[in-house]
Amino acid sequence: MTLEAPAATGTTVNLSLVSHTNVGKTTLTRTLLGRDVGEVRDAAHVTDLSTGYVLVQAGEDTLMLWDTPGFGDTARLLSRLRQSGNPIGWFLTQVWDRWRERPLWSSQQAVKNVREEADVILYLVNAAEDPAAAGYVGLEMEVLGWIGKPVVVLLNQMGPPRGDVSNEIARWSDIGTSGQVRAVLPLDAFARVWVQEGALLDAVAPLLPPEKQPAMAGLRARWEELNRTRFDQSMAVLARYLAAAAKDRETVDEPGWQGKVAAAVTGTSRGDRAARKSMQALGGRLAEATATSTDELIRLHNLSGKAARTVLERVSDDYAHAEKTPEGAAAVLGGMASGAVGGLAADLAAGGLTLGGGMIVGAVLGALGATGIAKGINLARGEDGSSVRWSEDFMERLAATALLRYLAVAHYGRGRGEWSEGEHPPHWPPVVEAEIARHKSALTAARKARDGEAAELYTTVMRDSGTAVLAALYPDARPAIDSARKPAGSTISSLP
Amino acid sequence: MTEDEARQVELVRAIELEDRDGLLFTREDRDQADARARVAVGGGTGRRADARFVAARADFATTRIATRHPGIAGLLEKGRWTRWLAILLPLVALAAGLLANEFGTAKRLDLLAVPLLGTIAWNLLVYLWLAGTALTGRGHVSAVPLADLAGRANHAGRREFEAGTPIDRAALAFRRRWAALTAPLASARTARTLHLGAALFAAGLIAGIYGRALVTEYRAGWESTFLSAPAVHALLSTVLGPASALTGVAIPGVPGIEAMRWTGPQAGALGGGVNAGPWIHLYTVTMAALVIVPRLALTAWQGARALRLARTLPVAGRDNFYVRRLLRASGGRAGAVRVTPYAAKPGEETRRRLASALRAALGDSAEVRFDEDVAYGAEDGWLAAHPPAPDDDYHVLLFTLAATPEAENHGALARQIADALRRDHPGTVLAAIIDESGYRAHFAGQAGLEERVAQRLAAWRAVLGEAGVTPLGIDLSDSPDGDLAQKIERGLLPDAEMRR
Repeated sequence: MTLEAPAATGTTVNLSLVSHTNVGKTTLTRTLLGRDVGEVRDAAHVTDLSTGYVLVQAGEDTLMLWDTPGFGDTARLLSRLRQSGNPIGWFLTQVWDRWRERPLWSSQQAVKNVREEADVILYLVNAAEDPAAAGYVGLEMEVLGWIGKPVVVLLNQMGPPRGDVSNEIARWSDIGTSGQVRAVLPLDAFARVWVQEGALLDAVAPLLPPEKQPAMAGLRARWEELNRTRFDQSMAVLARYLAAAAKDRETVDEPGWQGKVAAAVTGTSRGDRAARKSMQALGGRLAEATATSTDELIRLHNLSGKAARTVLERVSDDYAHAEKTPEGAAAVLGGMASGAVGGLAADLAAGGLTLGGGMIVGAVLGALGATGIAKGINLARGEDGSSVRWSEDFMERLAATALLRYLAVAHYGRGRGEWSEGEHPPHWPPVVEAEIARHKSALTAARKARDGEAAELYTTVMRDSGTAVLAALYPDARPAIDSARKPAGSTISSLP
Repeated sequence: MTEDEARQVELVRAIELEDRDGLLFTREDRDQADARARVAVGGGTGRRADARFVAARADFATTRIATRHPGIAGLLEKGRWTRWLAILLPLVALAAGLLANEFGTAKRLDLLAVPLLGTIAWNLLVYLWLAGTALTGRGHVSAVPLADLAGRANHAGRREFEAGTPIDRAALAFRRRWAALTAPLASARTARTLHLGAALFAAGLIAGIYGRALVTEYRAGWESTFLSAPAVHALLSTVLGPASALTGVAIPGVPGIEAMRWTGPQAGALGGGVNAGPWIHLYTVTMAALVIVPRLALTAWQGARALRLARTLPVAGRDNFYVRRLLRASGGRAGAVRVTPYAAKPGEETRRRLASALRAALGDSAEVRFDEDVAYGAEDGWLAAHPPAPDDDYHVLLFTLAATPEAENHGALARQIADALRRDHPGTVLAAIIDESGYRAHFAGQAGLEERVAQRLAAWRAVLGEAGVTPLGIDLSDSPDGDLAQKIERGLLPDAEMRR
């Protein structure tokens, strides 16, 4: 067994991830650590040594997460273990060949780790399987029963995040002997979010030996601090982005006398072109800001790869409705702005602007409905000429997409390294929209606020609505979320 | 089944296997052939009726196909070269025998001449070799290249069909399979021809000597650089002794032999030697006893063997998927499929869909049986308790894609069954279906799902591949039945021989 970092001299709480082979222990470890550790492949027995990683450190206390090799050939192993009076003792004294008897070697490594290190066993299961058909689950629970340490079942491979997972939890809660499983928690390596991890720590804490519980409380607090800070920073990123969009303006060049003559002669308006140019500039800036802020979120969540585009595409897909017909909308409007806005929406929809950011802007415009283009952009005539800016409706939608972007990034697991896949389940947008609607007045106030105050007001709105969204999505993880409602302490300035 | 019938059956089989889309031999043709063959058999049952059905169907089919692709008729002709060789070779041997002595010295019967002694020695060697190969049982091997050569001579320079077309592939497959099938037959025929040739050569040799002896006086004598009269006497007594005892014609003593030297002190005006009459008789009897009679006997034996082999060619039979399918079409026994779920609990609906898809692939009356689910880890001893049934056409292992394949469990079961089938029921095809339905439903809407499915299927292929099984991944929940059947037909049920 290898230790990645020297253990603190204080108390060390050890959580061992154990499971049948290829259920995704290493993938989950990567996600929880926010680092690419170990090797990940869809095959049996990829990991062959137990490795401990520091998950959180608080003072001298450490929370360790152990990634272990998976159980294999469980049935044959069990029939041998059952014949022994002291199954675990017998098993640990056997000598298996690391290469030729890989399943048995791996099983032994796992058992050894659990017996020697674990305070709580995190038994990971493949939720894609039917527990009735996955015969090894019962057998492995028997082995864990012999070791006699508390077991928490984690449901991995849950598939896309779903609104209600109580069925899945019920399906898996009666494995092992009655009372052996102390808790069942969904924790998909590809689609979990930090509040779920908090729920896991809360479930683990009471199962620890009494002498370790004080240390665990400290570790839990520290973990919370770190994640809360990350959440606040994420919301601040989005608030700055929204504030910048709210105050962004682009003046429209008035046609000079030549333009007026030309318009009179040819019948086309130069004003049209000028307005279109201004809107395009506005849209371009927003698109770029969207992409940049997504990159910032990705960096905050320790996800590698410049995959902002994937998130943006996924988020914009939710807003890209079939009835999005900028040209049709333009016909309704007529006048100077119509052609320009129609053209802008078409450009954005085609992804012609910066990265996928343009698609979000286009999708939001489209989502505003048939007359949405006109609603999306205000044309203000002032004494020094005309200018265009984003409308209130548009800003409200933009806040919703911003939260969705946060959810997409925060849920993303890093199992396969580079940031390439993601989950964006259909039950998110309604929840987000509802929360944004609830904060409508605060958003309006923020939009109208003076330059200095806007970012602050937006930060408050985003944090409140973001917390509410997480609470609505994960009602079971409420304790972790409630603590997030309070702004982070000023002592923590940045993430490790 | 006669050789001609067998050839037709094999040719039609090759064509139908290659012509999956029914371009050469259309669906209507197949139906007509089935109907025609059913009438020809007249409702009989059993092995003979099966064979008659297959033969009658093939006869109709080849006639039909030959009307469209004249090249097919050529494939059905017996090899011309083979027949010519069977006649020509013995005739050449006879002629060679007749002329053999002409190559020696005129009017002389050389007692130590190569044609005589050499022929005897060569034949004795051949008998020794035959006895040896009969004992070690490796007799036919040597004949196969010869048959192959004859086969290639038959088709040399003739490419009837455009390369790469189904019909060309079928012709190629047919030729290869036919050559392999008829190898023992070709070997028997070759042996027959060669034995007859040897007998006729010896006969020709003797006849040539007698014929010339009628009009010329042959002198018998010998000469040698190394051998002395006693050695020659000993040699001749050994070779001709039995004949001398049989006919009463005496072999002279050592002085007599010495006197027969062509050159030397005793060589007279006649240039040495004595009248060859008695010696010719002795050689004739010896030659007949050692060469002609045994070789004719071998000829008769190999001829009989060839006839028997020709009548009982091991044409594809019940153990062959293709034939089984034909017979099912003939209204005979329906196919039987056994499905064994392993570490999977297929629901009622899944079972129903799989059963109906299998029936659609194999014929409506096919019998589909489901085993009890085999629990994970229960593969040891399972086979002993549930031995394969002899009448099963398919043994299908049903796994779920949600599970990670493990060589020690999923792989072990497949290996054990594959071994048992290979040993006891080579006619049963072992196949594996990986049900994707649960996995797909679980991860529906997740990015990269197809990639994950492909990756997992690759893992399954790797594990089951060691048992020689290529798993077929299908979603048993959402494909319509017809689609499912097609996928199964295409992916799972191709003739095992075609996959080789």
